Amino acid sequence: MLLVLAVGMTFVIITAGIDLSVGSVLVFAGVVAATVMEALGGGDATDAGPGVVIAGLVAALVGGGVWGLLNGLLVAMARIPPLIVTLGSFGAALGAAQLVTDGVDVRTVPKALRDGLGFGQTFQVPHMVALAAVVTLAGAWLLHTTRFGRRTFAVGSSAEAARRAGIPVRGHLVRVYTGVGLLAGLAGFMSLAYFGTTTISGHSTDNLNAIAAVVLGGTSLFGGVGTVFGTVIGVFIPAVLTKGFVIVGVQQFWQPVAISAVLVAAVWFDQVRRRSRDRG
Amino acid sequence: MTETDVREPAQRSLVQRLAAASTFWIALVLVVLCVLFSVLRPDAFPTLFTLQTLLIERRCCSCWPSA
Repeated sequence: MLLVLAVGMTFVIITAGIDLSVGSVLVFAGVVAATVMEALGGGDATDAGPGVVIAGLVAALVGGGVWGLLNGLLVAMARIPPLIVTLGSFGAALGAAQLVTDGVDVRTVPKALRDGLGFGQTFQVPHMVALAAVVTLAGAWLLHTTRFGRRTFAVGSSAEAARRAGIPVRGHLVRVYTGVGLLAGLAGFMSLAYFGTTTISGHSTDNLNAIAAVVLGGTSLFGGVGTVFGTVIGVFIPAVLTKGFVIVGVQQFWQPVAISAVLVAAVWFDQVRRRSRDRG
Repeated sequence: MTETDVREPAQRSLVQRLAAASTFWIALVLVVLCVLFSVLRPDAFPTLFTLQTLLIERRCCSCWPSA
């Protein structure tokens, strides 16, 4: 799930933006999907079939996409800084999710969804991992080989230069933020499949996790630089550190210290690199 | 722009291009971490089970400090 969020976040940060709302949008999309499936299942979706599951997926994508579209419109059209816009939607999406369920997690997730996507495997490859890999490959293709990707880099390098070159900067930003919302919606659906509940209070730091992974992977917070491959590595470094510390037996309180140190070092390295490049 | 200016990027060696890419260095950090933990606990870290848990565990998805 983090990888799916981080792939979308890579696009946003390359445009010199930020999206703090992805964790809350994930929760909102999961709640919408669970509620839709529950309603279609007659109050209990546990034994619901594939049709209901597909309806839930569509609901999650629409729920996430709408928040992304709203973020994009406010950033690109109203010209409100992305930090403020997504900080607002971070709270609003979580509040909306709690309004839908009265703050209580929905727990009647279709068994077909849990067995198929949540815990299903093909050739010992978990379906969740396969889906995340497909999203990552698609993201890498989109960013590094298409006109959309080139425009993303151009907007992040210099929005004014991109505009003068004929790139519809505002429209592109709306598409990027909408895409991130869609991926957050997909991540919400994956979360639902894996945990079997909407986990409303369980994603409060997903936004920071995703941003940290992207920055660790070498994507510049100033925009114009980044790779999806780097983001994949950025997702795994904290995970390897955490797992390694547990196995080695290091006190768990050292884990955040180590992860934070690596993150700060990555940003420092990016600054040094930029200064070096600017000097020529 | 002279012909020399145009040629310059192509003349950089593979090593130089790798060294200039931050992705290379962060990948190296990941490799070093994996080697380090594998040396410290060769019986427990470099296993298929560890790889599977890294890929799918909740910890993998929310490994930020406060999670």
